[in-house]
Amino acid sequence: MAQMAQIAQMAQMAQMAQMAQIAQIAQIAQIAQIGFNGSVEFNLTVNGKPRSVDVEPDTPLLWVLRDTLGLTGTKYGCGVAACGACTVQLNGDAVRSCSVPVAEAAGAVVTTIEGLAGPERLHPVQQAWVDMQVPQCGYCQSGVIMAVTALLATTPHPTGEEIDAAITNICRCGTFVRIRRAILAVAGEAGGL
Amino acid sequence: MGKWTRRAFIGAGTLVGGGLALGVVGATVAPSRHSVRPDDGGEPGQLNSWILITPDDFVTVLVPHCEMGQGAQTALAMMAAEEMDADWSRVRIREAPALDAYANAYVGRAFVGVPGPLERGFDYGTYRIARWFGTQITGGSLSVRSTGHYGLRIAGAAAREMVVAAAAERFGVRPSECQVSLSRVTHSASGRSATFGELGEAAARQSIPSHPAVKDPASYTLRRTPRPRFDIRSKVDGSAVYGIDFTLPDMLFAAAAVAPVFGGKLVSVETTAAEAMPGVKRVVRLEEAVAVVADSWWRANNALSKLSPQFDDAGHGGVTTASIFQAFDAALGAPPEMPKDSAKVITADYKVPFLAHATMEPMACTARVTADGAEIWAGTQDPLNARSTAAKALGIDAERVRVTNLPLGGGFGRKLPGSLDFVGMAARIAQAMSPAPVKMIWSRETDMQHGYYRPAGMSRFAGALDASGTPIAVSSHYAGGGDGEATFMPYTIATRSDKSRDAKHPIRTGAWRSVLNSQHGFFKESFIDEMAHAAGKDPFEFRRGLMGGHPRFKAVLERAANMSGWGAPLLAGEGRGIAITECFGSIVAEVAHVAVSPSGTLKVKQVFAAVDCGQLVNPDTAAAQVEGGICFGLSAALVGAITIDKGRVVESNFWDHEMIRLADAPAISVSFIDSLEAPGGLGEPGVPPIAAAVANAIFAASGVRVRELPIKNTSLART
Repeated sequence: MAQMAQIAQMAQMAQMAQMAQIAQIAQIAQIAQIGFNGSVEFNLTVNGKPRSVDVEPDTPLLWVLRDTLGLTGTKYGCGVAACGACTVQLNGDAVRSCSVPVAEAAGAVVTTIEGLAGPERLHPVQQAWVDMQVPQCGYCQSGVIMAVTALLATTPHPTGEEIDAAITNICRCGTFVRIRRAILAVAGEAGGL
Repeated sequence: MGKWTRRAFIGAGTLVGGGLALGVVGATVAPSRHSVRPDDGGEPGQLNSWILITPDDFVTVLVPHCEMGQGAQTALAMMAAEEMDADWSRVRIREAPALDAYANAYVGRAFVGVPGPLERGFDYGTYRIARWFGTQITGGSLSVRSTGHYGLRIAGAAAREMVVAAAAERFGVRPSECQVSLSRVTHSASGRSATFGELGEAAARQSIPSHPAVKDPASYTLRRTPRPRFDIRSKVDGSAVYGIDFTLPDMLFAAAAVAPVFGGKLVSVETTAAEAMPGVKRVVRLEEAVAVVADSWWRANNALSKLSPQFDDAGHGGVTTASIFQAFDAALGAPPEMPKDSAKVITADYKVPFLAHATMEPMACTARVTADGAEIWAGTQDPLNARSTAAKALGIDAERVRVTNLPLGGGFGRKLPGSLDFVGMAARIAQAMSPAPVKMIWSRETDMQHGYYRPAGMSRFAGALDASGTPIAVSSHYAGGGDGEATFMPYTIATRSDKSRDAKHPIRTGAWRSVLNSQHGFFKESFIDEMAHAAGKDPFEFRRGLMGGHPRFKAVLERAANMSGWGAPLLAGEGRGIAITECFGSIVAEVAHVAVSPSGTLKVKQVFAAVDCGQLVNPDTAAAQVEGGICFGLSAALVGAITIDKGRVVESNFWDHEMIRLADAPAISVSFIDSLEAPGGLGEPGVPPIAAAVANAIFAASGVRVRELPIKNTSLART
């Protein structure tokens, strides 16, 4: 158990660690046969609540959110950070959670689509999505909305080029015209976000 | 039961707790607006459209169609509420359960007898889908034009008459003296009124009208006004539960590797190492696949990647994209013969590749198999076919399978009957793990390489002009599939013929948004453009001059041209292209405005779409479907391709099966012809014109003629 605590501590220290470090942690865990089956406890803050999960360090944040924490609003699309369906915010930055090992998120503040709205009302970006009737099948939209809220938090009045560069999510239904319209509607309001 | 038409009946009854339940039985669909073929009415009928009025004063519409973003559920509820004069804020929608009672295969009953292969105006897409009897399909752009037009519209009108009759009885007046507005029946002379909720129970005791009067479309107040969709809120806050999201306590998870060559079988797999991995419960061998079942999907998929399963290649290991197109080329033979007295003859070959549906939600299905039967949870375009697919996979009666359909993360034809392989696979895996529930999710790689692809195709055209530049003959040979609707041209040309040539290949194909129209839209509307240029005429005016026999097409073409400012000067390196197609009962013309840099970089700047889909229901979702269809078609036109090597699909994920993104998406303007014609479909008709419109615009901008998709494979550089 002491070893396990040590590994957990290492994982904590490895917040935002690079893949090499993650691999190292995983390797140590494996060599030492720590934990019941290679899993390690990680603490993270998800949508304002402290959460503790016991998973392998290389488990993508996406699957921790979906299968361990039951937050299925974040979607699996490609597993290789190519489509953006799994986008969440890690300490405010938009990241593709399918390619972020949970060890990298340890100690971090994670915001998912479920944590975006306030208690009384939707986030302005979500509201714009309703007003403009953006979603069709809607599967990609959690990721798009998380990417857009991250963009507008740092760049309240983005240019068309800035929007194009930041929002690279795939929407197979083809809602791009309305995505752009909704972004511009939010950005156009006084002060943006 | 009241009889509405020779082939449809209205049934009604009292709800538990008081209230009216009313359904239309055995409604059929017109296969197209050109050829309505009534069925024989001999079937006892099944209920496929239901309206409930409950004491809480809500109208609930049960919709036998899934929601995959097309807005059909909202549109169908609007069609019912319009006829009822219901208060839209007191209307609810529920998706009908997967029971035979809600089968909408009545669409199929309209197709007793197969049409001739070249019968004009026959809706082949609908026909193809309707052959799946015992289905509850959402496809063929059918929901509004069949279930809505022939079902819920009629049910709404009948419900209104029964509620009014109940009110008249209560007030002691004649029904004709009552008015209905916002879910309330009023007798203005006496000032009395009652709500639908108050009248529901009494309404259920009224006689069922045999011929309910439907509204004159000119008097619509709800239809043709934009209404927010019911499902949007759940799709912006993460609360929508798609098939892939469904969860049960103590559920296990499965990842699967499927034979890479279609028809291949599992030969051997060494499982010891994978089975020793954390959380792994079992490796399940199936005939055509191997699956790992674990306590999380990540662990299952991780363990799957450690397997090296051996599959046979079913004898197709030598198949490549090149070999398929060589077979197409050989099958097409010499170009069609042209009249001897032609002043000018041109020929051209066009090619389009296989394409994946690539729904954003990969194939996913949860199954639980016990001694009592099986339960299935998935998002499909046909829950009844999901039921029969699971039953067949398990070797049990369909009555012992319960299917819960969930919202789809995209469909586009991938989840239609006949292509629900993933449901059967999940059922078999769950059978091996019985009684534990198992959620199977295909990785994107498995999904990409095991589709029912848009068929690749090739077309060989020849066309002849007379001395004045008037086309006198246009004919084609095509391989890869086609039909009379897909090859139809709305142009008056003395000699027209299209011949299908067989060139078989083992690649699995299926219905892909707009079915065969995406290929033929590109072929025929590219060639007519080449004819126009060969005649030295403006491509818009050339088409328009040939449309004397098709005024609806002509109006649509003119609308699109006007929207685009056709003929107005453009910057150097820019061009406009136009194309027009009809499918699923709707005519769409699109003008693409493109810019091509000297080095060959293409930018589709703007697309103008004019649409005649008959009567509009919800203009906002209608426009959204056309916008989406254009973007979907643009991915195919610009970058999409599935290629084959060694009998296998080469592409594996979004990095090599590309899609357009926000930066690539043009501005899009959509305009609808104001029409009182019967409604046409909208899920698909926006797709087919765009590839030709863009290719034609590229020619106008750069002089480069694109004859093969995707366009990225053709150099547009001016040398």
